[in-house]
Amino acid sequence: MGRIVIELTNRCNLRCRHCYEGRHGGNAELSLTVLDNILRDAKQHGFDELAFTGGEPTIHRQFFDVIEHSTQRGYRFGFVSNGWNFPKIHQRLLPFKDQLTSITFSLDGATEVTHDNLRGKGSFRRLLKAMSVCVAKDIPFSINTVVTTLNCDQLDELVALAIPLGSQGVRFGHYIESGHEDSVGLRLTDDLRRRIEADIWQLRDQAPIPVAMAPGYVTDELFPCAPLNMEEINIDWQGNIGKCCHLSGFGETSPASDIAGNLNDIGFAEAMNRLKRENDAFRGQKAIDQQSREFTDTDFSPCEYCCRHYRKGRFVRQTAPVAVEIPPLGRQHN
Amino acid sequence: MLTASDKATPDSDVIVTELDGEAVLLNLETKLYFSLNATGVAIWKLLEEGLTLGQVGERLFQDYDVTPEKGQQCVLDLVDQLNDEKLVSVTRD
Repeated sequence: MGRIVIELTNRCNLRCRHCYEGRHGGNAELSLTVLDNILRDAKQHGFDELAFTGGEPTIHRQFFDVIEHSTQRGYRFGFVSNGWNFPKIHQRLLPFKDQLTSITFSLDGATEVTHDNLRGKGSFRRLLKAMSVCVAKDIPFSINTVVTTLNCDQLDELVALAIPLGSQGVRFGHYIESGHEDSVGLRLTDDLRRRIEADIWQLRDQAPIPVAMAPGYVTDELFPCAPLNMEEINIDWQGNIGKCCHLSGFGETSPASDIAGNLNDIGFAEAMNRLKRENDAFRGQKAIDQQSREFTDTDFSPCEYCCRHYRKGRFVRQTAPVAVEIPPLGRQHN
Repeated sequence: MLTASDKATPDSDVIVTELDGEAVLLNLETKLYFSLNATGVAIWKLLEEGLTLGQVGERLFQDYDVTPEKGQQCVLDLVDQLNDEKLVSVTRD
């Protein structure tokens, strides 16, 4: 069975340096009407798990209605969170614990200084409070980390921190430039990205908890993404079904070329048909592009290719990547 | 050996999360979690006020049917454990 990633809101209670202001600094959210339409039809199409994102999904004004509707329809669910208000809201989550797969907390540094530098003062301690609640209440959680120049020398420490904190795993993902003034210099060079990826694969082999990397790493595989394989679909707060996991509808083209349809206008079944058709076209085009001279080393990172193909994020590559010196992995995990 | 005139200051590297009247302590240095029951939370808060261990015992148990000696020992025992786990720093008078 597959998973649907649903962006519940573009509102957020933090202003992270590496996030997309235009997408996550808004004040809108997915309507329950659209959600109910998704819940009514998605199982027939092979989806039984929901992953709520944002913005900060827990500040959707009807977050617990969203969970109640989802679980009543028999879906399992998880969500991403910065943890800021989790101690306040966790009590209302407990009745749904059996259907909760996991909470993914965003931890962007092994130290308070690094994490707070990216996410704002006090965010590290608030996040650890959220994890403390999870440990006390036996709520499963894992950690997601966006790798930037600020934390790329802390990846082994981050995994070493995740283990005693009780995280079920750590997933790293490359940073894609956000265009924020504050984000200048956060992106790694291509060479450094490759070195970091090698470090992460090493951590994966050594760590006692699962360590993974989100698609976006350099690979010869042309179609590594779950969305392209129809194993995962992404729906934004407007009800758009995106063709990609990231930045859909956030490019130069209008109407957006990476949106398969809007669930306010078409039914779920029709949207799925369109998505499959357009995914097939994308796959065909990428196979052709790979044979051309214009397919660069950077395009072996699927997210970079996708951003270029759909002309997403006009800011991508706007700023010069920064080369930093990082020491070799220093810690062995037994 | 702790005495009633000692003070114990909660370590700034300990993250305290209150839950249903109890609390989870996370020591950022050792990365270990601990739990405090309601009495432990009350003692922790009085320690944060900078009281001596003797004053903590007096304040905490003045409204309870507990002998001063027993109340005092309760505070000393807990602070001893907190000190062992580097959750507080003890200042001797």
